[in-house]
Amino acid sequence: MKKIYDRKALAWGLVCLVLAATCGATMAVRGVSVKLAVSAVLMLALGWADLVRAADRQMHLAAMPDERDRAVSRESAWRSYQLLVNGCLLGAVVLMIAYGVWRSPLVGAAFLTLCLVLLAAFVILLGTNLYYEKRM
Amino acid sequence: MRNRIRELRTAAGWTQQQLAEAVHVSSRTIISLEKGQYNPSLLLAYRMALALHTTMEELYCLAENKELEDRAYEEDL
Repeated sequence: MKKIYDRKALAWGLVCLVLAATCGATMAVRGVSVKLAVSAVLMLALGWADLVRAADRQMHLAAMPDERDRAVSRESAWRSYQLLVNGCLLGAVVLMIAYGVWRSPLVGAAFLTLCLVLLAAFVILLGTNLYYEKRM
Repeated sequence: MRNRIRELRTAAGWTQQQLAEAVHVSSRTIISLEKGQYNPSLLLAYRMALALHTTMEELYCLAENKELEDRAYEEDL
């Protein structure tokens, strides 16, 4: 029995194989169709590739991020969040002024949408912050 | 943070790739560490110290860095 290095790939591989089997069973009941045949072949290929990946040590080692990669992805995620929020904030201020000048319902709706995005971002940040406050 | 990775690595006759392989990271990580752009975890610093036959204190000039940080802290107060 081969050792499994990547459980996620194993799960995806099994899902693909189940989908391929479902395509096969459907063709057995309803008759052969090109769409189902192509799907079955595609799912079989994807499933096989995922299963091979799940048991391949070299591929697993190559895909493992080292600590600098993790630090880079943490930092870039935080910078992206800040850029997004500051962009939304700037947009909301501009739209608020534009609404004050023109009283256009379209501008008002865009302003409210940006406010909702900012609110959602704040709630998500608060939630993740609370999560990590308890675990770090 | 100031460090002596490049100095000790070249003294040992190792390439960045060889050191990277010895401590299980990418050579890009070693380049970044040598430039002082990024500080490693305790475990990585320990691995590098072992690989280069030195101590973490020597590798990362801890006494000197502490002094610099203390001085900056005093100036901030």
